[in-house]
Amino acid sequence: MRPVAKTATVHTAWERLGASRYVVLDSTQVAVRGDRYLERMELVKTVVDSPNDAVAAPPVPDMRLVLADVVRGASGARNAVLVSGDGFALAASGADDPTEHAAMTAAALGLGRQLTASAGGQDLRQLVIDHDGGLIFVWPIGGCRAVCVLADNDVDQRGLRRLVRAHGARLMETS
Amino acid sequence: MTQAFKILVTGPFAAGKTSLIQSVSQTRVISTDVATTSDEAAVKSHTTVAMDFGTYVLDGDRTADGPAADPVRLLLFGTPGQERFRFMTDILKAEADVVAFVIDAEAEHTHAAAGAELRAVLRDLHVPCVVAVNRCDDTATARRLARALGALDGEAAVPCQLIDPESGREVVIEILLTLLASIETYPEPGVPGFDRAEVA
Repeated sequence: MRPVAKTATVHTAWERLGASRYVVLDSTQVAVRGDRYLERMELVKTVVDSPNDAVAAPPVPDMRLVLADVVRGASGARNAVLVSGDGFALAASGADDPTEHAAMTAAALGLGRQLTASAGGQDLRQLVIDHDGGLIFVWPIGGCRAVCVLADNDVDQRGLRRLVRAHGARLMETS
Repeated sequence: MTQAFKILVTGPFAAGKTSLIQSVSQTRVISTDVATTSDEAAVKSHTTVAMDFGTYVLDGDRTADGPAADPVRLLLFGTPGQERFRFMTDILKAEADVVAFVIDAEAEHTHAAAGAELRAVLRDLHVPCVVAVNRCDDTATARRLARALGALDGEAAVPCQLIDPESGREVVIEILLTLLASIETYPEPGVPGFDRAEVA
């Protein structure tokens, strides 16, 4: 199986750790061989002998544009951020730095999933925060991402949900 | 009546905080582990994004001439390690009685930032700390590292191998001893007053 990892991620890990070999786990996870970290890794799928063997990912949609589409398409939506499950901002519709917003979204989702489990549920579908200044929606996208939308109180919720659902597959793609 | 103490388990990314809580908790650990992405995935496969929560209960001693003493319950609150989740540490640290600071002895690149973080947390909290020095077998090394991070001379530095559950117990014992010492010094548990003025 050929790896489909982000080439940039592979190179970063490679250079930082100065390893002689590395392991591609899935589309986003890279483990480096030749040091002690490898023994902790799970799900090893592919071993690659040099960075040059890594295959560049196919062209993917610009996530920023996809998010901007979502915000533009639903009246009352202000800002959308695409977040990895572990709290990195992958893209944002606006110009503000989404770093902290992304980490808080991931933490809220983490706790939300624990609350879901304690209530006997298995699948958290959405997280809604209703505050005096508006609404915040968090929708999981696949198993390991989420989109967080900041909106006015009178946002077109149906339209917003429909848009996010419609763009779900694109937001899942590795950028 | 059960006496409950709040233990803040913190420290840098991949130091062993979740392992510590999972190895010693007697209740099911509430954990917020998710798969890592980006170059953190090169270090480990999962990471805490909000908190870990576990408990450790110590039954009171039975004495020949009286009833058993009250059980002591340690509530272990683990934080994420990465800088981007610092707000969780700020939430979780409130009212903590002891800081259990976990550090990976071999991950030297994390030590400088960890020291700054430990000193900042302790300056805010005014409570004693126990430094759990993971992947370390010798007390002298653990103690030297703990001092370098900002722990005081009297504070515990525990060498441990947190992949081994028995090793986690050593840390809990030091936490209990530290609590005992602070109760003796300050009769009401949790009362601020631990003087850290001498720490730079």
